[in-house]
Amino acid sequence: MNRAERENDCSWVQERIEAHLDGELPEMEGIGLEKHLRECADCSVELELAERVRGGLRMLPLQRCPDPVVEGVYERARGELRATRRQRLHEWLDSWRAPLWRPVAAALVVVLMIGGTMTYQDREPEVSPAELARAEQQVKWTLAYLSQVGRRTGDRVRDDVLRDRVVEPIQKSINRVMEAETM
Amino acid sequence: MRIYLCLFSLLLALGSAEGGEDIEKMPGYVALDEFITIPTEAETSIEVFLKAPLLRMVSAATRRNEPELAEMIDGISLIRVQGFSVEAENLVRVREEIAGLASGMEESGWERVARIREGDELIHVYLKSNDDEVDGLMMMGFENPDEAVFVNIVGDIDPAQIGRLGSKFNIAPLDSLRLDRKKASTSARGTVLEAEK
Repeated sequence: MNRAERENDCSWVQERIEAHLDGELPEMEGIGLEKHLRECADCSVELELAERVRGGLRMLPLQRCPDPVVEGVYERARGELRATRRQRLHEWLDSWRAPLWRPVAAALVVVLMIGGTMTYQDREPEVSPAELARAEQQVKWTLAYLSQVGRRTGDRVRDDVLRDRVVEPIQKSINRVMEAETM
Repeated sequence: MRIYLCLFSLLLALGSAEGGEDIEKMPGYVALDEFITIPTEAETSIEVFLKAPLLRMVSAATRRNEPELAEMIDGISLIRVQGFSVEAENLVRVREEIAGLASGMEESGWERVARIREGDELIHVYLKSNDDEVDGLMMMGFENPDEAVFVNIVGDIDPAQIGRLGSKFNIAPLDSLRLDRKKASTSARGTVLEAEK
């Protein structure tokens, strides 16, 4: 039902007369209802009747409700409130007992652990400039030392192989030949 | 239950990853302490222990002025140097321990690439390689009869590059490295200093 149709529909209007009198109708519905009432005599009568009933009820003297009835109503309300709270608590616990929470919780823990680990691993150690300079010196010292050992090794190989096993034997041979020729 | 086991395993894995790379499981690492007993009365003459995080920072610090050095350090996960004095009564035991370490390393696939043996000097240099890639270098021995020195470099290194780079460095200002300065003139550092003259 579109707006124009419902504004012409008396039953739609009469269902909302009480709400209109209580000021509970949305603004646009109220405007449409009043427009209909201005054009529809039957509905205007209904509105007038409703207003008279409201006025008549307001004229009646206030009646005091008997205390047992009031107490009974309050007790029942409190009981329903307690029941509602228990029900909500049970519903909340049940939601955690449901199979879904485990993978969700596990996923959450894993994400936190990975995040924490990555943060830890990405974090560089706290090193002062002096410590860094010392570390650089230590690296260079180690490389220099190893380089020196390597050079000494090479020198020893040359000494061992060339001097002891090549140069000296050849020298001795030459000397022997020279001595023989001299004799 | 399975999900708890999975989660527990994951936590264990992450816990071990948290400490970074497990250096002791790397093929180029030598568990020196398992083979060599440093005498209680020994004086530590030199001690260097640089792990990957600090080495990465050194690499970053030297990249601009010494790019070749920085590139080399990038491949290194550990530099450990341990030097200590050896009294005469411990000399035989330490030499035997070094021989035992050398034997164990050869059984583990380390290859001896150099050896210096002259007088009181005894130096072994070993390399651990995998195909064309070097996993680690170990140098150990006696510079003098009273000082044992061990050097373990873990990582992908080029020995030729070590020689080339190391020869550039003037190590004279590194007195602070040596803890026992009295012995420096006749020790490993002293030998290097003489070579630099």
